[in-house]
Amino acid sequence: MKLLSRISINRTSLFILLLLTGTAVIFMLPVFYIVSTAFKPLSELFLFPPRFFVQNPTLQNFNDFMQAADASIVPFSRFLFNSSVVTFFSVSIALFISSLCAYAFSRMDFPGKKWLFNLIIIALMFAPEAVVITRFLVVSQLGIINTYFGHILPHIAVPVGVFLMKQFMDQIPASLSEAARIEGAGEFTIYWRIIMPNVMPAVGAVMIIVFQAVWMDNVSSVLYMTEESMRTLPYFVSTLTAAIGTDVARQGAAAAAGFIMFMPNFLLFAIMQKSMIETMVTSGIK
Amino acid sequence: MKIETRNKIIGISFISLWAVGFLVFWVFPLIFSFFMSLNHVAIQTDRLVFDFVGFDQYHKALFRDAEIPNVSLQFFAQSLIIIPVIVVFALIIALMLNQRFPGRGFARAIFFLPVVLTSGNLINELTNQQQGTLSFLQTATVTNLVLTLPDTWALALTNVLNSFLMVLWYSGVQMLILIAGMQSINPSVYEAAKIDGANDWASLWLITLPGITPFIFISVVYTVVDQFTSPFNPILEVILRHFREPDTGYGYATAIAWLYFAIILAILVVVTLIFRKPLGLKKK
Repeated sequence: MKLLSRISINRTSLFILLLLTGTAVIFMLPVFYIVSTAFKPLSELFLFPPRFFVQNPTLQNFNDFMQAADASIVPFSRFLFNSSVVTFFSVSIALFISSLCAYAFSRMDFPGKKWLFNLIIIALMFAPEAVVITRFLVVSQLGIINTYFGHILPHIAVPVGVFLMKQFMDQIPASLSEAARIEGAGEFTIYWRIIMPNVMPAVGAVMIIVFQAVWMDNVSSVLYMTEESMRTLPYFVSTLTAAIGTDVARQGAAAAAGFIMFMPNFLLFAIMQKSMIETMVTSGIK
Repeated sequence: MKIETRNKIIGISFISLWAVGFLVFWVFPLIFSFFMSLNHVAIQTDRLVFDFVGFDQYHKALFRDAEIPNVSLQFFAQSLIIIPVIVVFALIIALMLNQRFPGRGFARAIFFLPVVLTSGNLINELTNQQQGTLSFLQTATVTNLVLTLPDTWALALTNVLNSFLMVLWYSGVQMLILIAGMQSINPSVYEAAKIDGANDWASLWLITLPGITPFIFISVVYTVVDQFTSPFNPILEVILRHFREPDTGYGYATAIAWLYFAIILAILVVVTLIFRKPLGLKKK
């Protein structure tokens, strides 16, 4: 069916397997590193040159982290709650409106289409750091400082999302949506029932990209929020790291925090990956 | 109401939500930052004071600031090497992951994993700890080989080798795009080619690669953008530093940003021109 697929275990596929295993190990290194660092005792955290794997694993870092969380004026649960709300709404809204927009770009005609798409490509290329200041001015003019909107709104119109999904939708044969149209399906039905299930790989990729951007984002906490209680988890973690200079014990807490921040990323990835692969294999594109 | 008009209204309603957000949080800040780049911006306690200077800051960045041409030249030389490496690497891994072998799903998961790692403080911490470099690359032979090259290229090449691991990590999304592209080729085409006596090597060049050209194009564009907006980018560091310096300020920083952007645009135009022919042929 596919290239080389008739060949069972022979020299070529054995070679491929070995090569993939080798590369895969290199790929996994950072994950091992994050996990192992989280369990290092202080003596090993400050070791130079740094050691890759932990020798005497300890849960002390998580204790330190909990203590730091207790000591903070705004309860840790508040940061966690803020982060969860902001991430959930940003990701779902971003996925919905970007895919809808990508569908319109791919399948429909409207005035200013070319012009707007070129604008997307331009926005893609512009370094995000360069518009931080002007975006702050927009946020403050809209009066959404210190609200959840200030966290969510700047994240929902992602050019990269529209671009990736539009390119995937372009590859789906027109006959697929034409058939549905003849059966009497409306545009929204075609988008939701025919096109979306076929671009799940792109949706998954965009979901992970947006999730990451929002979950790890400290910019909106620092710039758009002046009240501690409206800030999110990355801000809390950054206060831990900032305190390292004066407080050695916080280094352990920061390592544990890195692990805690990474896990949701990793879990989402583990779940999405499976459905993305299944959709690719069973998709109607073939 | 005409069907055409109706369709246009539906089309507009589909994009409207996204477009409003896009105009407010991307287009307007972009235009405003261009305006800032033409001004010297001073920060007062409650407002910004603009002093119009025209294109003077662009002139300064291009001809009077020694740091900018140096940093950018080296970075562009490095990108010129790194971008094809990333795409070719992604393509090779995607080809392998498209084969059937036990544990394929697991292998794909591992190769896409770096995408969840390549952002935020996480990766910065890793490079600070020297996990991002491969020590065997610093052995004498490689260094000697590199030293025979002109300075800019030698430095660029060393950087590429040193950040080999990073190259691998930046290819996750491209890999996914390419695998999806390979899945979109009808298997019966391979069957037909096999019946006609084509071997696997021939089908790779005559079926797989032409079939996934649009996807290779997307990958290249994605890689260019990803590289030029990554947090490791030395030019972004220069820009961010000027943001904080009171005597140059926002105005000068945005002027550099716009120059930088013009160069990325030029590179993408070149990429599009290279791909225009193969993409055009495919549409027939």
